[in-house]
Amino acid sequence: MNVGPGHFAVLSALIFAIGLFGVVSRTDTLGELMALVVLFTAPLIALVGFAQTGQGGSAPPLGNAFAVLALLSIVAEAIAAGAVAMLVWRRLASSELDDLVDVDTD
Amino acid sequence: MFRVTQGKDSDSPDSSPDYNAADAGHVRSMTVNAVAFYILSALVVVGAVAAVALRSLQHAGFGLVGFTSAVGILSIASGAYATGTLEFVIPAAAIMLVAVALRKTPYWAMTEPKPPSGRAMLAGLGVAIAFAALLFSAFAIGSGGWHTGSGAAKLITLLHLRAPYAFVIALLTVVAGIGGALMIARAGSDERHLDRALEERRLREERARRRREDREAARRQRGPAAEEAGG
Repeated sequence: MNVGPGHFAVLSALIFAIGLFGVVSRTDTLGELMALVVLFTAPLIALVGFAQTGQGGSAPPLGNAFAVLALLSIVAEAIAAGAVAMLVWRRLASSELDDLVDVDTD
Repeated sequence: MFRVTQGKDSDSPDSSPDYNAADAGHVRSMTVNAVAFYILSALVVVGAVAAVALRSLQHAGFGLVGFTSAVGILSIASGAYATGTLEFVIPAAAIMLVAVALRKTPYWAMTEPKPPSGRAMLAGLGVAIAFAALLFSAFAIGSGGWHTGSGAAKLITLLHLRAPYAFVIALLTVVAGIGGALMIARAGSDERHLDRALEERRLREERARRRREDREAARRQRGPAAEEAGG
């Protein structure tokens, strides 16, 4: 049985759904960040899978190139967001999103 | 746009009237082995579930490393060697570096297990199922319209010659992200002074507590002896 783009599409959708579950269900900043990384990785799986198993039959690197660029963006985003999470934790002594939403500004 | 060169023998570039060095290299198609795909897919899914569902952030972090590693290995198994290696190395190295750097600092307290919220988990499950159903139905409807391939150049050649600006901007984004993170998370001089004062106060209180405990222990030891001497 050959593995085609459909297999990668299903896997990508599954990972996207799992990441989305984490984004909605996590209540702490770092957990939320990790769920976002999972969610953002889903398109990379589709990009590489489609490129490698597309109907062209060759091994086209355009999807891989997009994946590399997206990967670098994800890493940059995760680093900056992690720094924000650390700053918030240091200021408020909490990483719970509910605490941040209900923070008293008076 | 990228030119499709499928089926052309790249060893004879003269046969093409508009030969470009970016198309050099004979990259053959590769179909990932079905068994390997299913095994790696299972690892990817397990890693993703661990990263989003485990209460302990330390365990979830290990899950995330496993997840990104499995995705990288899957890409390598599919034939995307350079992309897969980067997917394997960059996220795992970044996560491990951050973990090692923060291990002995107060920030490590951020990774303590958090109690799950039942309502949030139910909401997350509902939203995830809804989006998954939407994606699956979109795939089912458009099953014939997959990506058709876009050429046979090597990845590094493409990034270097065809998309240098995007590549450089992506690299600069990472550098800017690191710089921004250092700027955001830096501690001001007043904050460092305050942290030092708090640490000294904590140590003073710790010493006072130990002295108090030692005095109590000594009093307890002297108590029976003093009673015997008095009796």
